[in-house]
Amino acid sequence: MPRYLVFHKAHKVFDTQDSWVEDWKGLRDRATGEGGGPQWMRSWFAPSDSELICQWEAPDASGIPRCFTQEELQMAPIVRVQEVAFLDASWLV
Amino acid sequence: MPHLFPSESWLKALEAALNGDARYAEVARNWEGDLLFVVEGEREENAGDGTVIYYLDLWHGNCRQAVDYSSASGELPKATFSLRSNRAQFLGILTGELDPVQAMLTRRLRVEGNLAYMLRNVPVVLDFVRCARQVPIAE
Repeated sequence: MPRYLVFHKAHKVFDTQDSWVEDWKGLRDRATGEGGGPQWMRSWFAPSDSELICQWEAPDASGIPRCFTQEELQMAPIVRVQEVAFLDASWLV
Repeated sequence: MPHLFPSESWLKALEAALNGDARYAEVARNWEGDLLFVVEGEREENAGDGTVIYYLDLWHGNCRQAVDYSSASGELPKATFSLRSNRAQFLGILTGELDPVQAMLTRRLRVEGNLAYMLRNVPVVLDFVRCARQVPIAE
């Protein structure tokens, strides 16, 4: 399955732990990879740039934005999506 | 010297660790937020339900105060944040077995307060945890 890095600009950050957890659980449930669809794998948050960088696996990039709600895309719009290759340092041991 | 967790000696060791750490002073130089550290269901001898409550006044890279409020009968300080969990989960974070962000996202550590401020300052939070992990804990 192709891998993608999705870069978001976080215009707004969740105010409460519950709103954060519930929203992210919702996204996880919409992006499980079931039926060969997009799967959200993991994320990194860079607070210095308010940037959220997420790793996805998906048949193609076009399905990824459809996993987000409008509110999520307003809070943290997608700036760019890049297909990437995975390399693991442990492979070199 | 290892400290029991939770205990007042651990709290004082944490205060010393924070105030003696140059990296924390730098990373947290803009941080303004006191916190309550609430360890649920500990210390039978305490009044009430045995909850341990520590207050940490964290201000611009310093810990200005670290006070045990577990046995205090008066009002607790109104802190910017409270971090609440049981001893096992706190120990997981303090020993490095549990990632602090994972603890928040799985609600194993419950956070009250402005989460947006905390997430925007997540390097401060992580460096606070790094300092806390330097305090040895007795088995």
